Amino acid sequence: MTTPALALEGVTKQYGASVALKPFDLTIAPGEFVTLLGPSGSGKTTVLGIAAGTLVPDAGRVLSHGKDVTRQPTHLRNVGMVFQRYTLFPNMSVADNVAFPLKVRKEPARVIAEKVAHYLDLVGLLPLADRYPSQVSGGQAQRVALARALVFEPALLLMDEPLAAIDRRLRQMLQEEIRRIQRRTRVPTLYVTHDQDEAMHMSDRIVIIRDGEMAANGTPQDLYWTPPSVWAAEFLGDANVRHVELAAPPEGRACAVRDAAGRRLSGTLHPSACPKGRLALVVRPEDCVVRRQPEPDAWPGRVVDVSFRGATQEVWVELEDGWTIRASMRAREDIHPGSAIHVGWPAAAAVIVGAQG
Amino acid sequence: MRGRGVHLVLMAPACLFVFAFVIAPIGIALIDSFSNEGTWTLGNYVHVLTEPPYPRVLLNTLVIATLTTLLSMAVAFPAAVFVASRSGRAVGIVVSLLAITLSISVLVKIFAWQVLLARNGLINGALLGAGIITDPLLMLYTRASVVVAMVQIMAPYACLLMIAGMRRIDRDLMTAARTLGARSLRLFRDVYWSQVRFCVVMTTLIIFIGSSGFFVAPALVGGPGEIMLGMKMQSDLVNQYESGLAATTGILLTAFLLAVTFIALRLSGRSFRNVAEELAR
Amino acid sequence: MNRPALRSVAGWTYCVLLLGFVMVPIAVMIPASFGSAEVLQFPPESFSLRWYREVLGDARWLDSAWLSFRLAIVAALLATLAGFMVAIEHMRFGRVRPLMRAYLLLPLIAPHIVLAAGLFSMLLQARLLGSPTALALAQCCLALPLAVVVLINAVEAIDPLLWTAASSLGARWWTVLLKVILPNLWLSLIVAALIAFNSAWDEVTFAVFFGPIQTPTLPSKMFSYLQELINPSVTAIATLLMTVTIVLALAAASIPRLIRRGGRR
Repeated sequence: MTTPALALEGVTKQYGASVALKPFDLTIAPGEFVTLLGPSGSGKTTVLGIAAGTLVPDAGRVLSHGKDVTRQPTHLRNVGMVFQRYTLFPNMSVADNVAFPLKVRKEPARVIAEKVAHYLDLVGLLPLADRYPSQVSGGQAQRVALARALVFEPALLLMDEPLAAIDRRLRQMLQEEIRRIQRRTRVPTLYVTHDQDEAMHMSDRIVIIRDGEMAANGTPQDLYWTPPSVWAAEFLGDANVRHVELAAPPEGRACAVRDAAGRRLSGTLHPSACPKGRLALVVRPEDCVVRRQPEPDAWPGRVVDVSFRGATQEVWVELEDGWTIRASMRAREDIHPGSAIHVGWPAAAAVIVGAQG
Repeated sequence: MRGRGVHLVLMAPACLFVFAFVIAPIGIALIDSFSNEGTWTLGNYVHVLTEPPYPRVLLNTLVIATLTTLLSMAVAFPAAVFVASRSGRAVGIVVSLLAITLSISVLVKIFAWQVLLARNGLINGALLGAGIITDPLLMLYTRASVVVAMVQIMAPYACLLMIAGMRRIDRDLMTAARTLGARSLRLFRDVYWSQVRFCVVMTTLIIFIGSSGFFVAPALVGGPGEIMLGMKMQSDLVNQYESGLAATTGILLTAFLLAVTFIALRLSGRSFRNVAEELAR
Repeated sequence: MNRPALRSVAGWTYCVLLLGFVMVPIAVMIPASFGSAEVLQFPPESFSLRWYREVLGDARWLDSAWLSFRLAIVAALLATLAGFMVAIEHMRFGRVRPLMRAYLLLPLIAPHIVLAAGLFSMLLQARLLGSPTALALAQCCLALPLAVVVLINAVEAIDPLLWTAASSLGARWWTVLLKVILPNLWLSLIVAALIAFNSAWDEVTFAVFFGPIQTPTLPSKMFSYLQELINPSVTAIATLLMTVTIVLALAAASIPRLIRRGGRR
């Protein structure tokens, strides 16, 4: 196994009586783009501060490419940072901002000029090199900040909600661009956000943090299709959730369960779920299939609401026992509130997780 | 730059300055006021409260400071209310002119009054020349001349402090109250006054504290009957090296001002902490 | 005229009257300083620079002015430096607490005569009465709150993340100060120094209580002149003093506008 670019080993942090971070582990492989996703107050900023060296953890170690840097101050860490606020030095031109880390490292002028031009070109801002921060737009400023954080080829790139202050359309463009640049430069990246969509678009891997603890860790696809908990499922998107109990001892992963109404359902048991504990079944609305005709493993119900979303429409179906299931389907499908229909899903699409949390 | 050492280094010079030139002198004055030739005694206080001319000087200080404060506030309040409710260039001009007046030396202002009010000064000269009076009027070296000069010095402070405070009030509240049907008088009492009260009390306090510690004006335009604390302390110290009595009057003044501050804050329902926060802005 | 307009006219008239009351007496002195007669005249019968020549030709006045200037420079530099350090603490390590700020504002509020009396006996015991250094330090303390207020306001306009950003880019603290903080703060430092200079330059109470006696500071010397009979030569000095003050005040007031324009660059 290769040495990770960054490894946090059991780091903790406490502010007075409040625990910001319980023992927390995180690794980032060389070239990997990891997103730290969590609601506000979950401890994201604390993890970032520890990775950056602006905070010293109460316990645990921070390793950069195998070297212990736990107590090393920020300016020696060789990490590039991009913040939500643009933090360009207002007294320097765009080019001087990008040149700053190289000048601090006393690089020769020729190298500085070359690298500045290269990285400004990479973010598409070479023509604005002589402008001042007050003369560029928010999106441009954030690109300059990115170039400045990359120009010294840091061991790690840390981004703290860099797109939170930017409006939606531009944000999507910049997401693509950051991803493209990260793939080209192969800089190991820790990206902090509270925006689930952003995390799913951009990451190689997502780490979800909640109340100072890791709540989930996996590729966007893994976490979306087989979430480890009800909370993670609902945090990452829309989900139908039903409390269930085992109907029969599980055979491998596949498992048969029964809900409060006695309905027999089947799904895949998540590795983290304890079969003895309270369980819940999770199905994404996209996996629910709506039919006009009765089918095996589909339940009759009545459409109570339809909401148009452009490419798709969301349909809420109330079953006879009152369970309302949300299904997502093609918008062209002609369906109205009041229609009697049948709803079901492939057994492989349902995940059985622990019901706690 | 980490750790407590850095905080200490950054804050130490400022804190030491204030300690050495504010806290220490007051502490020394406190010790001086209770000691006489090496023994602890209340003699200084008895002396200052009973032996002429001290009681008279204390009373003078009180009366002149009160008059100055009331007049300054009366003159400045309407202007502050008006200016704070306006916006635009004119406001900027009024505020800058007040600020420039503030920055002019107190000595220059006092001297201007001497020039105007003296027996052979400009006003007497003009009146005599116009034949309105035959003998010069006695205007300088009276209680009135002290108060007028001090009001001229204090009014710009009062005005600027109140404008700054009143600018922070929430105008939307006034509009909201008006839409709810509040009449003018009610609006003023319940909505406006409740918001500006603290700022007016603070300003009054600051002006009163400033006036009672005033040294220059009474010394230069006051008559021999208008001696205030500052002058008496200066002559005790500089002419007689009598630090005990000067310290005692100083401590009495400080204690009195603290008491006034405390009472004013209690009456307006605020604490010292609010004052600290207000000052910090 | 309708009521709002009437109110507006009345309000501005009142403001003009108030400004007249605080400014006209001072303005009257200026023409008087250009007279030539032994007694004050307004308006002066003939224009002359007699009193200016007399004052500027008098070594004692010039010595006092030079002393005042040096003291004020020392006080301004020290107050600005100490205020700058407080401002850096405020920016770098979170807000300076209100109680601490109120403590730093004490020199502005505490009655100066009380401080002067205490300092007098302290300096008497230390045999430092009349020491220019002691006076400069004391006046620096009076100027300190002004510098603190100006500089804390100034750093609040700077994003504290700039410091973190610069550190992450590899800059040590002195590089951050020199290359990032100072270039964004130097105009405010000048404002703070100008205001502190003016405060020390005009300071009377401390100078009269325990300042140098042989060559007193300019305000102290003027104070003793004003205790005597009116001498027209003082009109010239007062006018000169006032000019210096107004120029300093205008400079200090126009710099924030420069800063704002710089921001829009």
